Amino acid sequence: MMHSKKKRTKIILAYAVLASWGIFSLFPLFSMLLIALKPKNAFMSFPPDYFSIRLTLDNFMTVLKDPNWIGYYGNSILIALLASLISVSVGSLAGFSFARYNFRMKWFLMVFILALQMIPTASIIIPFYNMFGDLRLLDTYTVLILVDSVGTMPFVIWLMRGYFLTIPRELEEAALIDGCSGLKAFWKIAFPLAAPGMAASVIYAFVRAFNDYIIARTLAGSKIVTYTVGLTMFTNQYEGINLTLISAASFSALIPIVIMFALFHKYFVIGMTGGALKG
Amino acid sequence: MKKRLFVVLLISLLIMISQVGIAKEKVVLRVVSRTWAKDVINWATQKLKENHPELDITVNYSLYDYNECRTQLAMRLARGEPLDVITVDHIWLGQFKDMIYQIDQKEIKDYSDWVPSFRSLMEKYATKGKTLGLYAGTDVRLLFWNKELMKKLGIENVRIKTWRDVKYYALLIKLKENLLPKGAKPVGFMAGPTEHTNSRWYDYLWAAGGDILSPDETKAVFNGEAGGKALEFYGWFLKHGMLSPEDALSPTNGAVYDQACLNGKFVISLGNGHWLGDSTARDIGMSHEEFLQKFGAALIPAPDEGGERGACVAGGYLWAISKFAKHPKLAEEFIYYITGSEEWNVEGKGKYGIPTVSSALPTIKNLPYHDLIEEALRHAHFRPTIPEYPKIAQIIRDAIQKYVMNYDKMSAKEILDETAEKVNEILKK
Amino acid sequence: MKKRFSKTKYIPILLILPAIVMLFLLIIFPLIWSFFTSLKRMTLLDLMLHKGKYIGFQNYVNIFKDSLFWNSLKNAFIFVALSVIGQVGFGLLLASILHDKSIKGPGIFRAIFLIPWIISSVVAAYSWTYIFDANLGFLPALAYNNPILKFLGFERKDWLTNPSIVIYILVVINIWKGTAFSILMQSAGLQSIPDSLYESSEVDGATTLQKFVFITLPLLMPFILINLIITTMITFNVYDLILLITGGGPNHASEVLSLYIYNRGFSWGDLGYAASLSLVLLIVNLTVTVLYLVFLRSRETS
Repeated sequence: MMHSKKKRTKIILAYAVLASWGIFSLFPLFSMLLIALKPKNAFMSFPPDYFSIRLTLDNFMTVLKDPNWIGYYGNSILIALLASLISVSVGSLAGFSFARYNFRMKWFLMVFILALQMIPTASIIIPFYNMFGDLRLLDTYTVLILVDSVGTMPFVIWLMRGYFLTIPRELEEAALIDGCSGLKAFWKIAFPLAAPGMAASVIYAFVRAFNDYIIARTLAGSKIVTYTVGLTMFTNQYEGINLTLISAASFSALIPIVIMFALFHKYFVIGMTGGALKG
Repeated sequence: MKKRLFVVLLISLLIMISQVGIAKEKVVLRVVSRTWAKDVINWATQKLKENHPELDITVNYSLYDYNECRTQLAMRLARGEPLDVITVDHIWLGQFKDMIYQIDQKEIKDYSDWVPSFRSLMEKYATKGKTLGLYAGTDVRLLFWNKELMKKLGIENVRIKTWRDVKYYALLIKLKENLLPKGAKPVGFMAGPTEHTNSRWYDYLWAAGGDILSPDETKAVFNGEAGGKALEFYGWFLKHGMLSPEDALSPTNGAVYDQACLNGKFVISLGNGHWLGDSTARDIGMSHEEFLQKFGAALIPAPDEGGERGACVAGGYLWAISKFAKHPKLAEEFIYYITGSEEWNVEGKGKYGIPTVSSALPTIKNLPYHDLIEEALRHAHFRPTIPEYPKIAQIIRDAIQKYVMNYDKMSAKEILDETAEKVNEILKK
Repeated sequence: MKKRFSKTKYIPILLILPAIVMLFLLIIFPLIWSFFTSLKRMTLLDLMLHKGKYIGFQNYVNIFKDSLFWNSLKNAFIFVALSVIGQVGFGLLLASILHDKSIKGPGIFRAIFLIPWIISSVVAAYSWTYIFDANLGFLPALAYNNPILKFLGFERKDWLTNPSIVIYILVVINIWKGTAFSILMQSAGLQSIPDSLYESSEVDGATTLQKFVFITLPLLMPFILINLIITTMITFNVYDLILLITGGGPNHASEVLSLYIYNRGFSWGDLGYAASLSLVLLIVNLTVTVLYLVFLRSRETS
């Protein structure tokens, strides 16, 4: 009896921790939704009218009818999709190599690639601008896709290396005996088995590229506008903020990606946790 | 038959040749500006095309938000991109001066039409008969109060001309603070992390007869008597519990402060842009009529012993031609359209603030308190136009914030002197 | 078999090559450019006029005399240390709870916990600003009429304006945003521990705490360390969130080193100085990582 009672309090405590972290996680979304559902003049009184039930969908209608906004959103999705595909295809080749082969400087290269994560973005923005200016690539899809894919590549390499390590080497060796070359073994055996890991990497890279702000606004932002940059355009010429509209736009921007995540997060978690990162 | 065919062929050949002969010359005008300028750029493009039917003009514009506009301009000019028309905010003008292709002063049309304060600014920019560019619109600052809340406390017929008047009303409000909505403050001013903190304090500095830098812009003078007085004026409200430091320091941008003013957080606000009753009000769904009903306004008050009432900062974007421009003459014409009085009478959004030319002033008749705005325009002051200004502004802003945080521990003079030293060091370099 | 692999000597390099080329062109090359900039006296104006002058290591010398640098370094260490401890700590706690078989619906909880991580910094910054803001904030408004929240001290309005509080609020926001990543990593670690170990200890009558300390923690150590390294690296470079929420204020109280670099470079226009600052940040970051790695290696060999 004592034992099960103790266990019950433990479980209740565990649920309490989970629930409070859940509330903490969702709190900003909740307050944002609340603001987005308020009529503009809710902010005409002090303190602002957060709590009456005066709600409206006007802000969402305004945002969703704005053809520019839809375009910005489409840009973000397109860029993030292509960037994550490049990052993962190039990254998993390297990850496979690190997982399967031994060669000189391997450890050095791996640490070096991981260390690239720590280079401050602010320091490479201006060189970027010059480089891509010379290549006449500023304000194009290409530049954002390239830079975004490289941004996530180091982590993807490590992630994929970890995932390939979990796939039994014997399977590939069996294929090699059958006369496949090393590369063919990769394509035929390791590649399909690594699918969950790749899915996780794609989602990781997609989220990072989708949410990028600093790169998108420096290297593009005039002809090619992403949704993060577009959000800052809901301000007027005096930097005034249309709070309800911005909240509606932010919230509507989140819905598709949250749905996508809800559908795929299982693979993401499996991929991330199955392969994991083995030092 | 053959002959006729030959004639037809000949004629069609002639037509083709003549077509080639009068084929329009292709001209691409490159413009970098702010996001809101889209409509006015399109309008000016139309005008330019109408005036030059012989040219095939394309205006290739890139529009950015505030901070990005400066970075983009700098990086593009550094690469020598042949930008024709650029917009430079007054705050960064110093950094871009050397990149501007100067226009002949003689060529400036309607020179007499300029609002006097801007005419003298233009003259200041002029060297050897050349000038930097033209302003399309500007902004000014006023003092606003919440009539509705005042009425609730039984305070009516408010008239604010001097600093003492502000203190008097603030005291009246403080006495009846319990009638105010909870959390509302008698007085508000801004000490957040943006340039608005500087510009709204400068107003009081100028009103007290001071200035930011010496006339030749080589030495800090804001720590003079006027500066001390202006900062102590802020401090008075903190010392008497009429405003808490955290309300003044409220982060993010001026927009948050402005919205708080509109929703009744501050009964009297020491300084807001003229746009409070216009775009800020519109953002929260308040009409001009409602604004006039709810809010009173006055020129920035002067110290009790006299000073310049109405002194205020005027900002705005200089429309200029970059020194890498491929079509300076055309760019100049383009700028005339944008800055001329005609533009103000055209229906359309994308105008910046209030006109800088007298003949266009009637177009702001529908703005709340337009008479005060016009009056303030006559007392317009300008920020320094040296390359170091953005740096100096940050240091002055730090000083204002430091004072607000330590008003009970340090004197205004002490902080300003320390700050002036830092500024002088930068100016020396 | 071994021979087969070694015969194809060029294959491993060939597989890595595309990644190395891309990383070199798009990260290393700009970094080298940045290093040369750091040796110049170069402002925005100099950049436009092509007048940047080489001044040797003068910029680096100036850094040591710059009180704003030391202030931002201090803030960076507070911000990074607390963020990392919070993210990894909460990540470990939540992952352990979710790993427990008696918890129902771990998938739903995990999905909810991942949401802050998929939100862009811009959106996160807007929503947190309007939760904490003194004038328009949701939290102050919520606490006006709520005695419980008032009692808990939520009525205060200086969350983002009190210089001694603001950095901790930003830490909380950063923990909110980044913990999801640690949860995933720690879940991975927990899954790698075979259940049989726990079962045998249960026979011996070990308590939950004992199991955690003597079985889970030692086996989880590599995961915790990798998590610490990656989170530290990323957190040192976080600045967009802070830039959009406080801009580093009030009076530099929340200005971390990465934000100071951005402000110096893009608001003040001191590009050369900002470049040297960013290399200093890189060195700081590198030092911390090497310390971790030395620790990781020494554990592995022992």
